Amino acid sequence: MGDTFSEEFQKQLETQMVDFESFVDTFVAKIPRNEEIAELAEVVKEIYLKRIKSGNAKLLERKK
Amino acid sequence: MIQKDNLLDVLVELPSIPVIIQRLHDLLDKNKDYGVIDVASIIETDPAFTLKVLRLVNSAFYGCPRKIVSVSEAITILGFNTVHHLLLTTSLLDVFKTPHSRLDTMEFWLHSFGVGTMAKKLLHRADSGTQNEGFISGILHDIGRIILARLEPELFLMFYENNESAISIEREVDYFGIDHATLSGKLARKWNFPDSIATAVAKHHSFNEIEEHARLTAAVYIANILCHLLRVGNSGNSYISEFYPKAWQALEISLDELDPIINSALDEISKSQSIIYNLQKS
Repeated sequence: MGDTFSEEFQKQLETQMVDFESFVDTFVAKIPRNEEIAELAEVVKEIYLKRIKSGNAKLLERKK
Repeated sequence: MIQKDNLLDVLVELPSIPVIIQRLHDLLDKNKDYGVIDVASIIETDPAFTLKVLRLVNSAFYGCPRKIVSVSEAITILGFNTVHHLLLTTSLLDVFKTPHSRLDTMEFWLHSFGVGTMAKKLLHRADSGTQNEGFISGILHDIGRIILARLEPELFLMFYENNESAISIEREVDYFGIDHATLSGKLARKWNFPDSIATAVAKHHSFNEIEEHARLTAAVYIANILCHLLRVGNSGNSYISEFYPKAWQALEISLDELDPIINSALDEISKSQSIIYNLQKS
């Protein structure tokens, strides 16, 4: 039961991450001369992905 | 189309900012030695604002061990800036309830509040003396878009259906005769906000045109981009048409320093969101 819950949770996290990364990439791609914003966007991506992973890990821990 | 010649008439018809907020700004601007009693005496003249402050300080979020019944005590506990920012945010929510299929009011305000909070955090690192101006500029930066939706609802709908990909100031001028950023700046001036705020608001898509208040404007410009990237609320359009690296350089913040800035802004936005929703109901 616990394992199924964890797996479902992990799946949701992965979907959330892919969706976020895809949005950021689209955002950057729409801007002309986008090299410098691409660098900024990569840092933002890294910060946010770390944040949602840590948030989900805390949630999962609380559910156990 | 809104003709620039008629702009003055249009602005005269726009709602006024609540008197209490204007009086708080005057106090902040003109009297550097203001104290808790001065601020409390302004807020206490309006029962609705008094109730908002007391509800805020007595909310579970602040966890006060006893019930607070005086505004001055509430200000001492919360701090003047917290009270000021939340009153400004909720009062603008009241002023601009504009139903339009392209704008969700609460999402719009979440974006505005997000940009205000993010700008404040960027300025805390870059230029701490202007944090308050950064917050107010962020709250006001897209307000021109609500005015456009309110004055030209059909044109507004058509504009967004035909321009899904990115905000273009020039395209807005073609459609409406004026762009939302310029309109936001005009409204900030009408409401007697200082020149620094009116400029930062008016130039939040045109950092290349900036001559004064560069760091404040850069903070609003970058905060807006960060909130779009992080999908904090929605102001009707998720993309930007241009990136000016000079705005980032003007902040003099390294990319390594962004982590605590973004995380602290997102924490504050998330905590304040429920408080604002609850205050809005009062």
